[in-house]
Amino acid sequence: MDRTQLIADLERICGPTNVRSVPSDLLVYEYDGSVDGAVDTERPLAVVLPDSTEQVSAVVKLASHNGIPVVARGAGTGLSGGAVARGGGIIIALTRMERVLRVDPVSRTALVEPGVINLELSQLVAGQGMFFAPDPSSQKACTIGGNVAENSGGPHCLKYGVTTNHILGLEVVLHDGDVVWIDAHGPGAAGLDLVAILVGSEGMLGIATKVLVRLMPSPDSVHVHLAAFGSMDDAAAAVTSIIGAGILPASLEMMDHLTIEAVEPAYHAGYPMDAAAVLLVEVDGTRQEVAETSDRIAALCREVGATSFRSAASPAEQELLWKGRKMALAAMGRLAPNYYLHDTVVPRTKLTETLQSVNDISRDFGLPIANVFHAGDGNLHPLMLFDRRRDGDVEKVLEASHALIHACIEVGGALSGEHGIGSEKRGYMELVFTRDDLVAMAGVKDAFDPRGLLNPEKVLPKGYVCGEVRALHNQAMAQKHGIHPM
Amino acid sequence: MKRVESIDGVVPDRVARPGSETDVADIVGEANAAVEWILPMGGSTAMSGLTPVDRIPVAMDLTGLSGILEYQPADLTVSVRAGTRWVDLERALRAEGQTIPVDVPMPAVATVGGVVATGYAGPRRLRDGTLKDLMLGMAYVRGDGLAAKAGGMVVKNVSGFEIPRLFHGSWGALGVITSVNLKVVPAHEYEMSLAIEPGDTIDLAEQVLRLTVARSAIAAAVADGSLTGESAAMIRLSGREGPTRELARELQANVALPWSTVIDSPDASAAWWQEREDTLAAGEPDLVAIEIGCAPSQVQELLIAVRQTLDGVEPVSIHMTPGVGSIRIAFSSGALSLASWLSLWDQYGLDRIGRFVISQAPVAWRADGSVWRIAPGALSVMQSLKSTFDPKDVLNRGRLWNEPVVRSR
Ligand SMILES: Cc1cc2nc3c(=O)[nH]c(=O)nc-3n(C[C@H](O)[C@H](O)[C@H](O)COP(=O)(O)OP(=O)(O)OC[C@H]3O[C@@H](n4cnc5c(N)ncnc54)[C@H](O)[C@@H]3O)c2cc1C
Repeated sequence: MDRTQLIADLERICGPTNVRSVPSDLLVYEYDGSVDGAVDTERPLAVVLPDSTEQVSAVVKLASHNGIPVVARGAGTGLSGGAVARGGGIIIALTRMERVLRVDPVSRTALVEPGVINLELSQLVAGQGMFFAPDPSSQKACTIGGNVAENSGGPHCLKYGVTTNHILGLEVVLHDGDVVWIDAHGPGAAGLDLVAILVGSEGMLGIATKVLVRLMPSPDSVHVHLAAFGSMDDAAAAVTSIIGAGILPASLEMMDHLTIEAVEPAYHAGYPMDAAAVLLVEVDGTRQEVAETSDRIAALCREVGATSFRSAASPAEQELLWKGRKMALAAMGRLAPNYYLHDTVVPRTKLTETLQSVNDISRDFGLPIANVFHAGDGNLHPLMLFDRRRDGDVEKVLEASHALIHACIEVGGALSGEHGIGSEKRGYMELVFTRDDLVAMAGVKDAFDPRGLLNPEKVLPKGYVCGEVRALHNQAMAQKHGIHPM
Repeated sequence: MKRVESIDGVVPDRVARPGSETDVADIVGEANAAVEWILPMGGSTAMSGLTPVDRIPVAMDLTGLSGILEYQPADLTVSVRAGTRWVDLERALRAEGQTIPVDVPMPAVATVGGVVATGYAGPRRLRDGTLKDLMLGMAYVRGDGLAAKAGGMVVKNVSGFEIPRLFHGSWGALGVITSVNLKVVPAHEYEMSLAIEPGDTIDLAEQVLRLTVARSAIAAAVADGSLTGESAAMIRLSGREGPTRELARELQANVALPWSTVIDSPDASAAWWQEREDTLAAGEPDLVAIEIGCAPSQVQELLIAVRQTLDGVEPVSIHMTPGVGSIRIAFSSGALSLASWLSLWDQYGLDRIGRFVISQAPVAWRADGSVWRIAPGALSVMQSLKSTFDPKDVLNRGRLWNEPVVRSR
């Protein structure tokens, strides 16, 4: 199809002011939040900003009719290249669909459009004693639609679970533009739980145009504690003994010395500058429960050698302790012009061993690595600090990344805990999954999007796309039954 | 070895008893070649709510696939074979002070794979969610014989599509689960239950709902009785001993409800809830049980509508978890036919507020109409998933949706 004609058609659907097509307007849509070098940027054919499900559906119909790929996009804060239009398709930016359609305080649910900003939803319902539990550090900017697509996490997911645990229903525009409502399993629901597979599918199975989210009741009481340690091992031991004691705090976050060096001078959060590591522990629940649990946590931290243990005395102080954690990425600019953030997960019992490997990699590659992460979940966030302009730095980071990912997978870990695979890590999928595992995943893609037009070249490694999958599958079956293809 | 007798009165032509994942793949592979369908079976505790079939070519008894593969208490994860009895899994976890906080009817018989496949969730979903939330990874054999795994053995993972969670409640229609990796949690130190004396069913449902909305620490709260008459409620509390007792005191002191018996012993309290589950699951041969769901805020409206809809059908017993919008009604199969139930549901426009599944019913009752009701748009997506996972439809005919039953006589 002629591009001019396409733009005209898109303008007819979304209105002339809601279509971007000149290079200077497209520039911001060539990226997402990930580091370039690890993720290729690409200029989309056009960007549309629809205002309704009908418009999204009409755009997808048009694209489908013409065999043009479409990529859904929220705030573009994704960290694995998910919202970049590989192959130059149409980007459907959902930021104008930002209405909260209904809040039901008795059922503790809200029906929202996908462009609603994560934090704004929590703020909106706070007055009714509720909050939306998934709280990525990017929550001031990222959208609920993006959270759904990435199955995002955050510090509070230790206790409350990741995004998928909080999604009850979705309105989805399918590959051909059809619109369906799907329910997560709940009382009286029959059939497959399509919400389960849609959440975390990185925009490859459908575009969410409405989201029914579960809201959690605000706890009666919240305590925030900061424990400092003389070594990372001691901090990791504290994590083990807290979890081992049967305590499930709302969050359990670790920051190492390098992170403290970046954060403290910038935000004055009150982290001791001489600590090798700090743990930020939040406990919530009923007043008595919180008081009791806080005492136990303090005792456990001291037992494993905490050099100090402090509890925030006021909500303002709680917020300040949290600010250091939430702004850690932003503070890294004080240490180096660029960082590359990883998101591997390891079994909690392998934390100490893995942190040692990270240390070794940092030494071997001469690359500073800061660690600020969801320790309670074993979800690491090693930040490799570098300077893009320095010759060889980008290559060094990519090599060190390779070593780090291998080290995590070797101890039984996963590639990503919350940032997704996108285009960034699709090449690593074969490290974790067999051909048959990937054939089955590709089958899911095939069932939803047989022509591969929704967010192409993501998640599944090269060779596992559409037609190729059927060939691979036949080959697998033939081998299994001892029949050799000619 | 347990003999597989009959399912809905149909004796399987053949029973396969795989001992390994490879066996499962072979059996499924053979079924594909012969285009013969298979009924995978765990503990056979949930076989009576499904579309009846008139022949079962192969029943696959998965109880031979049992045992814990890996359990690392400090990681809060466990990997277990699908045919493991739930009670055996739970016993191993309890020995380490841990648990999987879901309600499982007949845990001595039910298998892990069966619990996942039925996707059942009882009253505890109010506070602790469902097994779906705890599924980390899985090994399975697709309907076309492909053996694969998905997810992993860590508590957080977003690498690739969430096939394990898709299998929760899939009734074995996509593949045979051979093992699952689950997240476990620390077991609560203490639990107790508080009873509330009978009152009008609709009023009580509303009171229980208000109670649970205001206090998120309540583990479960049900109201059971009769649709047209009265019900009694039971509240379950669990946690550390001190805070649990404190919550109980606070409820009794501050909430104006006719509080009655207190079951103040963890064992006795757990036993009460387990017995409720077992009784509901066992049912009676002649009983029809339907689970209706709605938004919790619409429980009252739904109850009123169901009362109207079933006017004249008596007696109808009721078991509710208002806080999650779950209402289970039961009546004797002679009181109302499936066809009448379906037409009344439509006539009163109940799709507007709720949805339902038939939990159990005598086979003859089920033969009288469509057991499963799924909106057409979603259904077509489900069916395209089915045709990738199980292209020849060799798994579980009649489970999950009303496919034409293959009559192969
Ligand atoms: C500073 C910083 C901190 C971060 N911290 C965290 C963290 O703590 N935890 C965490 O999990 N993530 C974190 N992230 C990553 C990112 O913010 C999340 O993945 C977020 O959910 C992405 O939302 P978004 O609206 O920006 O999505 P985008 O980046 O716009 O899109 C992400 C993916 O979702 C798809 N998508 C978007 N909307 C839809 C839709 N409506 N339907 C279908 N697909 C859609 C896109 O196609 C793409 O594949 C962080 C990022 C930054 C920059």
